[in-house]
Amino acid sequence: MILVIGYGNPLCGDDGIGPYVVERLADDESPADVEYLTLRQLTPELAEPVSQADTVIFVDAADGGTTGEITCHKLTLSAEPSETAPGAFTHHVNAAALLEIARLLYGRHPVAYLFKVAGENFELGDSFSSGVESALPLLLDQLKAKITRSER
Amino acid sequence: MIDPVTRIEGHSKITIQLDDAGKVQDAHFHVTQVRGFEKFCEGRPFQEMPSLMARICGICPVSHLMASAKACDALMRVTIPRPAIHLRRIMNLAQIVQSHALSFFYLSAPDLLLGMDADPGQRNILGLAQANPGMARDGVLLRKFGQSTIEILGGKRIHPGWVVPGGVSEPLSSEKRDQIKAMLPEALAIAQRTLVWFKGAIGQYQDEIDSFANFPSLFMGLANEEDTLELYDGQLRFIANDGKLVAEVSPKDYESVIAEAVLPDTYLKAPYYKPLGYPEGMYRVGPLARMNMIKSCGTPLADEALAEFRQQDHNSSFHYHYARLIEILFGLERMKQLLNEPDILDTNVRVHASPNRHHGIGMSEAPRGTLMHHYEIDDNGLMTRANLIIATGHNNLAMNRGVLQVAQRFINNTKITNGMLNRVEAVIRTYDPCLSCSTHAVGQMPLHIQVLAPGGDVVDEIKR
Repeated sequence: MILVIGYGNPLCGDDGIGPYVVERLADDESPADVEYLTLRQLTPELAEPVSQADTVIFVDAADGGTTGEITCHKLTLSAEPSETAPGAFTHHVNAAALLEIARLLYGRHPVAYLFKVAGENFELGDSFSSGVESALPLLLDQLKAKITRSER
Repeated sequence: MIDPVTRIEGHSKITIQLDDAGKVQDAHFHVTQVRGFEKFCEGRPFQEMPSLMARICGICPVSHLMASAKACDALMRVTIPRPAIHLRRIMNLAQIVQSHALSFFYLSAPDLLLGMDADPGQRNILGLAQANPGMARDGVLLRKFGQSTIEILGGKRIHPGWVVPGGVSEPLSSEKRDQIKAMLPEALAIAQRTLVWFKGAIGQYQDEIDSFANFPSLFMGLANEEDTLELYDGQLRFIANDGKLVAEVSPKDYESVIAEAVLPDTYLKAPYYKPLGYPEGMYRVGPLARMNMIKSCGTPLADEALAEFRQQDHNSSFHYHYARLIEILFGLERMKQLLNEPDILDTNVRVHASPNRHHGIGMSEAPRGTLMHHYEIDDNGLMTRANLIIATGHNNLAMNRGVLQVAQRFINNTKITNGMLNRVEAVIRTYDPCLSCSTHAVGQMPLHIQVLAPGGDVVDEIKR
């Protein structure tokens, strides 16, 4: 099973690119073994569904880089868990920490990729900057290609 | 990636002022976000308020739904059907269970399991998962129970639109009732074994029990006629430190007993008990206050736990943790009772009405304490004013005093260690503050602590 998770705040400009693009993917015809989730942020309880997937594809906005630039890298478990440690006052975790938690609590973790789209405007608002808007077709193509080629 | 990423809890800062001898002279907890929701909603139709107000927070949207819908009920001047009250109560309890589970397992258990002096890089949910995967799994399961129950009732986990002015939008089906009931035994088993573990562990924390905001204060919360644990309705009650009744008023008269001070160095207002004035009118709300106010919880297992809780020092905010675990137990037991009510599947769950008065006040108990929504509308039902008083705000004065007490106990100018500063954080954490709620803004809560020399120079600081 492939799990595609888009996260970010749809009311904070470019930060909403993750949920937006994953909703677009979910609206298209899609293989039966692909599941989609859109979230404001990643939380520890996601470790359970993450542990049950063969591949997880995370989609998030990035602060920095050329606006609209898309990067994708394969996530690996950190040798030193504190490198991925969440803060003591917040309940959110990052994608790498989520893989760690899945491994520690459920004994398995999936192959995982993190797509990042560089944004420039994270102020209140529900529209994207022009650079992020114009990156959307390419982002959709890249995600579809990754889904097609991923382990399941 | 935006790092830090979370957009939920709020920004805060603690400053600790040293005197010439290097001793802690003063300490303050500042919230550095501007508020906004009270203004955003002006001009909107009052019927929109529950769904608008739920957006204040991604952790406790259900609590805002409850208080907001109750304020709208008051504007419409309606009494909602009994099955709708049961259903709202069930959702409120599910919210309290999942929020308390987040606070205890994700945020506080790492301190309790790994120790206040443990490496900050380890003292988090990941460290907990390494040290005690069973407990971490329990935390995940309990959160999932609460969120799933909210989703079953309201259609989605966050910002469900099911609680509406006049009741709820849809009755409960037998399938959904059975789905929730089927999840209860496992959740109850987790709550019981976590309480057993906690009772075994607290002996190691006598120093923290003695110094974590351990002082006399008033306690405030909603109270029912039976003096059992009340989380949805009732009178607004203040009790003194010795348990004696100080005041009890109808929620609509809250302004006769509560005033809010605006402080120069924080966006978080400081409510106080009006007859005693500021700051002598400091009071505490939330799980500890609720435990101190009641005669019994009203469910068997929670009452057993409450009897043991009574042996503890009821002034210490460290015991918010203990009280939180008892409330999880109570919440699960009470949900079972409510789901077995003969009229729980009744389809009469909503009344409709136009606005019948210009003022409406709604209160409920949120996980962190009493939540107050006060609305004013014009003749067309459009919002002209909103005043929200949030649990974290009620606790503001007590949190500040707690920070000072802990700083004085654990910090001196010889060497400031992470363990010392972590205890300062940990006293705040006992209150489980929700700063996005209390300032009505959206943001994150990386904590920033500064230790200042008498001249104002920063001699040490830590950021998380």
